[in-house]
Amino acid sequence: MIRIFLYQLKIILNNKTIIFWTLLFPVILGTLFYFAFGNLYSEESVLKTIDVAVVDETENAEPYQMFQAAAEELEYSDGTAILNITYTDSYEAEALLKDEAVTGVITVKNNGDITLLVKESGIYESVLSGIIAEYHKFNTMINEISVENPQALEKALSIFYEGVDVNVTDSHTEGNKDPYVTYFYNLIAMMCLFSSFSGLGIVVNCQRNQSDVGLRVNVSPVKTVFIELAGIAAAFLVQLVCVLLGLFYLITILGVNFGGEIINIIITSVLGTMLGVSIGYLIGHVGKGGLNTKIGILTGVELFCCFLSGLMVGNMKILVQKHCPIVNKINPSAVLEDAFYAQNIYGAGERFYGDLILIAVITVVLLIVGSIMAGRNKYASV
Amino acid sequence: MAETVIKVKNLVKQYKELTALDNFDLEIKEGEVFGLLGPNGSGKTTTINCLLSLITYDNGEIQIFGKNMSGNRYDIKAKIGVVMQNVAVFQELTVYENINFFCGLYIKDKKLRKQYVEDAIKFTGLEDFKKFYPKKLSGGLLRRLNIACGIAHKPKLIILDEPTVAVDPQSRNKILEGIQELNRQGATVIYTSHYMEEVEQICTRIAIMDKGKCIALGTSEELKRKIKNTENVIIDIKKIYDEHIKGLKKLSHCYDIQYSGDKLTIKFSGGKHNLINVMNYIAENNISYDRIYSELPTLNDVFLEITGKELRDREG
Repeated sequence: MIRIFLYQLKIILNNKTIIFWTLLFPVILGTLFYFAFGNLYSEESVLKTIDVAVVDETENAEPYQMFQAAAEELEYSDGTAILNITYTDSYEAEALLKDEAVTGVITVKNNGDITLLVKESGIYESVLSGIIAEYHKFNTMINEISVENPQALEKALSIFYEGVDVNVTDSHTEGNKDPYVTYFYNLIAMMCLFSSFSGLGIVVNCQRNQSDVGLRVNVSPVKTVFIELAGIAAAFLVQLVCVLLGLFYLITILGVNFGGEIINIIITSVLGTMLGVSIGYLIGHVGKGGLNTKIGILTGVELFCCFLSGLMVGNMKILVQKHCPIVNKINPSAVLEDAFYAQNIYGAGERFYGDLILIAVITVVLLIVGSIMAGRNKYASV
Repeated sequence: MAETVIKVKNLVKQYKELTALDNFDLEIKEGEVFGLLGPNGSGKTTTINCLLSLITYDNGEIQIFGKNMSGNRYDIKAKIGVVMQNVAVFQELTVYENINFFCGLYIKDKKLRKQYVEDAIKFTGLEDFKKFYPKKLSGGLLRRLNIACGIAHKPKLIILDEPTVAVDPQSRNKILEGIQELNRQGATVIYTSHYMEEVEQICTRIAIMDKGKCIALGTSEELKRKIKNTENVIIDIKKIYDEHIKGLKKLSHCYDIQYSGDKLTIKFSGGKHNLINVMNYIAENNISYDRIYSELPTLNDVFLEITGKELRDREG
């Protein structure tokens, strides 16, 4: 078994295609990301001032003026203004949003209600949403104070500004809220999912109806399942090392600040790599066809999963969450991406652990279904 | 009396409408080089796949070394070496590593395995290519590597499924000599091919297959005796008139004449002086020709007479 494992290691390590796609390609892509976002990517960019359009739909100017005063006072802890406000009408505001000249449109309604319109989801949209939520909370209180104790109004407003500031900069973790770090997280997720190709290769080399080598393996006196197990273990080890090397390169050579705890990133990578290998294991056992056919199927499946998880179209994950949330719970790509996101933004909390459990469950399910398929294929016709 | 190594009774394999094996029977004795001969699609590879339990079959019984064969009879599998039609090696491992890996599936003892691997390398003449990766090898060397991977563990039964397809004549001869050597060393061999000459050259007994059935069985000589044709006289000739063909056909023991590609083939059944009779006729009629010679029937004639005419024609 150990001898087979060592040979499987050698086979994977000598497979230049696999090593290119699982290590070199992500490293090259990461380097390109780094230089492409070089001007944008920096720790300071967390404190970027957000462009917003503010629309006045009040008849009585008081609520509008109150919001205006509050909004203009908002600033980060280093004194940078949080909002860069363009006062305009609703028509022009929507045009600005459409042209991405502003991140959101804030509309102050007649009754003092405030609405927020954003084009997509992201960290700055979340900041705006947080500000509106905070404003709503304090609005009632300020109204009451202005009636009952007008002298305390100034103090109450200062508490509000301070509160928003804390909410933005010291939110849940020391994580990196820079939207560009998401690209690097997605890169790690991609490396994990690319492990599926190694898993697939192992299965194809063990199945007598999928490869000539598989045929030879099946006429030997060693149970195929042992050869597969040794292969899966070897594939997992090689791929994990590739992912960790990729991480090491991004962190130490390129200096990418992943924000989250490194141990959480490594744990997610370990489970993500096993998830990737198990996807390949299942696809390898589904139906007939050689390696090339299976690679085609696997690529298609993974691209579809990535599409649904929003790795190609930004809003897709939100749309899926809105219309069919279960898909985000069973889509390996979505769960993996969410685990990286959760550990960065929220830290090692309920959401992160929930994602890890989901990854483990999906992995086990894929392996079990793959094994059942393997049993069914065992004596079927060639 | 030699022991029975393989016994197949009433084997039936159906692929939807197609009957790949139709109540196929086979018995192979220890020490034989047994040839399975037949055109593509005749059922040779299906037979091998059934023998190795690589596929299920619909009916029948297979015994190898006196035991019923099934997919989990690892004790039987351990005594079999298989060389498949396609080269089955890892492109990522060297020649030595490939042979060592596959030999290791059979031989656990490291020292013994090392010896076996060296023997296999020497046997297939791959000494100079031990550290080569398969993609650096020529077609013939690849075939030799394929054979080395299949026989390195010194099996008692070796199954070779068309191992010389797309191989140059030099490598082919080396492979055929190697198979005979393996047999001399004590291995029973099953050899499938659609190359009649190869089968005739190395096999002690031959089964001719067509449409999943064994249509003839015996030694090369026995098979040849089963057919009408006993001698072919061939004349290389540019032009021949119909009246001369009719005249030749009237010669004693002649039963058929074919003319194609400047070659006139006169077929005889029995008779002792057929070539002289033909030469006399040519001299009497002053027919000019390039060359004249006599050939004994080959397995190709056996196959053509049994399948080509009697079976295929009916099909058409």
